[in-house]
Amino acid sequence: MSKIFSVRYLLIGISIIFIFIMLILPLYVIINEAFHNGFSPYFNVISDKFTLHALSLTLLATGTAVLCNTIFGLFAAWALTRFQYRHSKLLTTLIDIPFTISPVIAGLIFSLTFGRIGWTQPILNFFHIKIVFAVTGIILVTIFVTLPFIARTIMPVLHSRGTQEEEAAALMGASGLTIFRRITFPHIKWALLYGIILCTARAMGEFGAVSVISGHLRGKTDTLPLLIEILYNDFKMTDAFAVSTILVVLAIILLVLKNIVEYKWHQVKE
Amino acid sequence: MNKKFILFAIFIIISSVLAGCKSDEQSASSNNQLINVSYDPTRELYAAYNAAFIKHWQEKTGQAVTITQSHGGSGAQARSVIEGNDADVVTLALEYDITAIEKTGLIKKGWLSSFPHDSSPYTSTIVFLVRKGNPKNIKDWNDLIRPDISIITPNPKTSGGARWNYLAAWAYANNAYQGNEEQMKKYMKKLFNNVLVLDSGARGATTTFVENGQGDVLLAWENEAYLSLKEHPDEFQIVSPSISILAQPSVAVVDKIADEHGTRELAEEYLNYLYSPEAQKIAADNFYRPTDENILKQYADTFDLNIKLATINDPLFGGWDKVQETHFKDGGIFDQIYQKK
Amino acid sequence: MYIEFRNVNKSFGAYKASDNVNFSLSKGSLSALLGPSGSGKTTILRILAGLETPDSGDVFIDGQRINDTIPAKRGIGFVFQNYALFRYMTVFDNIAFGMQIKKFPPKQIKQRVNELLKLIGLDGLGGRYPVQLSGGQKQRTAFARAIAPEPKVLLLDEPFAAIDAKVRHDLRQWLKNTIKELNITSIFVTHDQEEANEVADEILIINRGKVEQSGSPISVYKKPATPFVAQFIGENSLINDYGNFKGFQFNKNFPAAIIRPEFISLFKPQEQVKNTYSAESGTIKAITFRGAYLEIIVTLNNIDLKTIWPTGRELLRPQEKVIVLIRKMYLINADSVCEIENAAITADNSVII
Repeated sequence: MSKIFSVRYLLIGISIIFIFIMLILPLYVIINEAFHNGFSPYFNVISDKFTLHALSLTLLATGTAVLCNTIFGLFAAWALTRFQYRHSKLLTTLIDIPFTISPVIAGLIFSLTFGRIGWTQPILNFFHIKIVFAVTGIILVTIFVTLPFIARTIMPVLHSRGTQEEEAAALMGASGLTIFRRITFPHIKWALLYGIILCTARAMGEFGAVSVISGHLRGKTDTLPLLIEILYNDFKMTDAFAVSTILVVLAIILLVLKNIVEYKWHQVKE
Repeated sequence: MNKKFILFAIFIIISSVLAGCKSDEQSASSNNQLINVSYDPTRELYAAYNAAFIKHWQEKTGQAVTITQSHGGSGAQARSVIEGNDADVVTLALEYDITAIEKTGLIKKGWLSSFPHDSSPYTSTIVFLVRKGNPKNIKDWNDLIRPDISIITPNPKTSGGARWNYLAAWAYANNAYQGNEEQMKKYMKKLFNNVLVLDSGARGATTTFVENGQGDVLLAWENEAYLSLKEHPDEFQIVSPSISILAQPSVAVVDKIADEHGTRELAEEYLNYLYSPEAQKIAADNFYRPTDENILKQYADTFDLNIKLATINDPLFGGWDKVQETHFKDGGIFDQIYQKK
Repeated sequence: MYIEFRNVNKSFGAYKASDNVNFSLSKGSLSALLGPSGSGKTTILRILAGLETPDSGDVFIDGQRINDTIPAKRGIGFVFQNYALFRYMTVFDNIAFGMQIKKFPPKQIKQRVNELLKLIGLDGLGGRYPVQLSGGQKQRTAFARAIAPEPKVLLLDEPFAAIDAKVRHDLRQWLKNTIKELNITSIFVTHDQEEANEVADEILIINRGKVEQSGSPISVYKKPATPFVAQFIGENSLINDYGNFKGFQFNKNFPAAIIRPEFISLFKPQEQVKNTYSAESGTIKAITFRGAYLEIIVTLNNIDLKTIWPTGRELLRPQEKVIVLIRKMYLINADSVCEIENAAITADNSVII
């Protein structure tokens, strides 16, 4: 009996130590370092025009990615769970690709496809469209790396529910949109929200892929993570940590939202 | 359904292109904007220079211009320009990197002679950065192969700065062993065996030495070393070796892009002005050796003018192409002397 | 004829779910599609509803060919096996759904839903969600939802499969009475004979995609038209050596015989048997209590036969010797059924005369 107890305390102890080292300590360091020089410099950095631009770019990329991937995710999840495809397994695997490849590779792919030496260059030139080393590229790449999140969160929910309710509604003459609005959507509401939060968190923190195709144009193509790297490379440690706190705050907000959504979701499940 | 997927993919691309285009509208190529793609250590230099240049241009033409900077590893920056980064001018670490861009047709041949001193408005050299008080008593290159010394330097294969480090060492070895290549290689092997951490970039190496406190000596650009001194006044000091190499970072107008943007005049003046007394002083204040002899003399107490400086075009090296071929390509001398631990 | 299937065929890959299906049902009838699992009965229902498309053949409702009409316009109400109630809507909204889609005026919807709530005995529970209902309540809600938009035909897919035994009985009665009252033409699918017998006016027996026989429950029971029906309906003993029994001769055209429990009479040895010469002596092998009657397995000439014995009479015991009289049996071969009587009884009777 006592052996079981001591094992239990040991496990709990290890978990606490792990969380402390991996989460709490770094958080403390970030906040401590950020305010190293006092409040005033902190607010100067936060409100510096480069910081604000980086913040707005991060938010733009994140927002667009979330929007596009929500639509795509709904589409894909619906198609894959509602229709019998010979190749549905293949499509599902394709959706998972952004999970499996390193973001840097994603950036590289975009650079080599849409860059000056890419095969799409003549078309892009003709329309005067600039994709890589511009804001567009950053948005596209963010969409790419966060692609699977929403689709993958919704799919199990749709799958487990089966099609009978929708069949019943269709039999009674409901249009596709009505079926989606009144029957499907209420069911996937919480899963969708959860997926959106995951997608947002991932998009905000994206570094590797964006770094490859951003061109590091100060004030134009720097997202928050990129800006933090620049400040760090400039040995402006305090400033780097100060900007990091912005990301920390955003992350905490997302974390709180995520927990609320999870809680509500479990309630609904019962 | 498959059709819908394709339609949807197109929808995404178009909408984000439009989204990006909208925010790029403000930064659309107009001829009062300049993009300068530079390398890592020049952030402070160009922050200061750009302010001076904008004032100069305003006075000269009455036009207000904005300059956007981009910084990164020299090779990586060159690559990004090749792949589509629309730089009007490039101010990189190596002539070699700019030649790579020239090879794709973005820069016209013969760019090297477009500006004075082979298009190098400022130079630097390689020095040793050691801990304050020089506890390991490092004086010159021969000290670096002592068994108790650990060196920090970036990897010559990935970092432009590191290649200068390597070549500086090679120049010393050539002098010390009278050109006996066998012994020179042995020296280099011992040198790189003492390397504690081989970072991928110059800034990374500096961080490792300065922030992380690793190693006894950092092989660094002179200006980087001075910056570190400025940041941490009582922790380090600079030791100038007897022999080093003249590092000539090059600048060039990216012809194709400048012409597209209509910024040729602006770009050329931007690079020209780097040679003006005002700009040369700014360079010196940022610890780059100005190429203007007079101004350089004024900073004699900052820069050690006694270092014997080899250049890349010396017979020992024969130019960048030969150097790349001999030392840095796969299977070259560096690969021969350095095995990853 | 209100509902007609003509030469309907449907295959799913190699599996033939409907094989030349032909039948017709009159208006207001309550019919059962009865058959074992996988027989294709649900397929027929779904074809009628428009959830499946036949490979060939025609389907008619009220004289109109509806092959090309979309399900929503066929005037069908469908009750799914697992109710398929909309779990994120209240009972009221569930029932109102069909009418809302058809854009009935809200007042009318409200009135009708309340009527139906009363009809199904859920008056006042309109605000509940399906998850808060019992099985029986869910079923009745599904029923109300199906009939709310006043369909022409009501289809039910194994409506009682998921319900407790006791509730099932009451629900069956209720469903039968309510449907009759509303006078909607209805078809339900089941694999339970008891259910079909109890609820339906007419039974269609489906096996391997074919309609084996259709008719009233009693006619199907008493006059099986095919070997499958003979075996499927009722509790039967299947005998190969039926010639061993007194009064029956083996006919080589019919390799097997089916004996229903009620074709066999049992007598205690000391009882007076009318046709002693046609009866034989047998042994009780097993007795199973079934409430009002006992199910008896009796061994006769080394063959086990199934029959029944009222619980009210003096109880039998295993190993007890009894007198067994087989009155008749169905002879079957691959495609036909023939009823024969115990020749000895007939002869017996003639002797008495």
